[in-house]
Amino acid sequence: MTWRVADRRARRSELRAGGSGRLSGLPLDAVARARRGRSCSLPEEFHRPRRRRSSARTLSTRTTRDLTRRHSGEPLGERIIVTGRVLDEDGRPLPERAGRGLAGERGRPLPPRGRPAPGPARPELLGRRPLRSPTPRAATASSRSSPAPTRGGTTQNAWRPAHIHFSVFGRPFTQRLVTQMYFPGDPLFPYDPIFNSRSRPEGSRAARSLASTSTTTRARVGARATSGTSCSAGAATGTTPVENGR
Amino acid sequence: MTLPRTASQTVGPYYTLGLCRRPENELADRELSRTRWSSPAQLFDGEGVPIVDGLIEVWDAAGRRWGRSGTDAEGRFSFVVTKPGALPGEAPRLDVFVFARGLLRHQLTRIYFPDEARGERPRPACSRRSDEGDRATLARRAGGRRRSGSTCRMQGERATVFFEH
Repeated sequence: MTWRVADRRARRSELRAGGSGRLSGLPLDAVARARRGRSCSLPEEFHRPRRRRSSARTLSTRTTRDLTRRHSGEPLGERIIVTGRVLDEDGRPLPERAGRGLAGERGRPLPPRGRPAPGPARPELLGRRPLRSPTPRAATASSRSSPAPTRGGTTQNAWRPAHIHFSVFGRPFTQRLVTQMYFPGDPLFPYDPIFNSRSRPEGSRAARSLASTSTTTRARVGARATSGTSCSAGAATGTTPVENGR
Repeated sequence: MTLPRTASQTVGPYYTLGLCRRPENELADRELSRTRWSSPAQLFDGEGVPIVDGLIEVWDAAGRRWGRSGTDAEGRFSFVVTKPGALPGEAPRLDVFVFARGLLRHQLTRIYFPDEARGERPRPACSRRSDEGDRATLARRAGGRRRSGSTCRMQGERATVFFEH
């Protein structure tokens, strides 16, 4: 009898919204779908990954957040673990309701559309994975990126320092932070117009990683660093390369 | 304690490749086909050149719906939506984020619907270019007579209005 309840609720909410109640003329499964669709739709990386509670839980959790897996090819580069925290301007961790998304560009995954570029294509590192956990700390495994070629800006044929993109969702739609994480000591820093951009708010800084030996797995060594934000979120990340991969 | 804000940085040319692997630009239920609207549009930079790897996200605040579309080789993008409900005192609209290579911070604009008497005019307090002509990209009804879509211009005399956020 559940579907009857769903039907009545959907029709009532339709009437409340000023509609004609036409939902009542639709097949019941369509009503249920319409009702579900009315609640909320958000990007895939916003949602918590579905996990099965089983002996394989640990493995599946790692796989979900592991950008070096779930691809047919073997990624290039050093394996790293990236951890970070999302903080508000007072240093308080943003609770679980704040979505945290990771969109991955590791090195140069694919040539930009219509513009073939030099360098190894690495489609196996392109992807998006949710970074969301009850604790304010989130982790993902990745492969250290390589410098990426770029065009335009002040210099032609320049290469950008290695970086990883982050897209962090806040509570309202207009709270959104897209930023990039860099690796310390990159010799390309002085030449990169994005890393040195002046238009960012005074006092802000690009996220840079720091090495840490406290976040490790058997084959990977991770690192941690933090930086805060004043508006919606701060992204914080860290890395240490390891030699042997998995 | 006020922490420094992490710098906003460009999405680069890769977000369209990485995030637009499956269509997420349909915010309307297929069963409600009579109320579906499409909003074909084209994204241009300041020199009138199409931005081929931009990323557009829309948010229907009244219906809590979200959608995303990349731009194609001619800068085109489109969304299929049911017309959102109006917030109190405002015309029905979609909030739009524009992400593109070279934009250090994404831009916020709106989509209004042509049968809503041009919609509301953006309040000067929240508009950077309140005295300029075209206000926002307009939607059109799906399946209607084909005509040239709207345009979103990032810079120039006929630039789209972007809001402070």
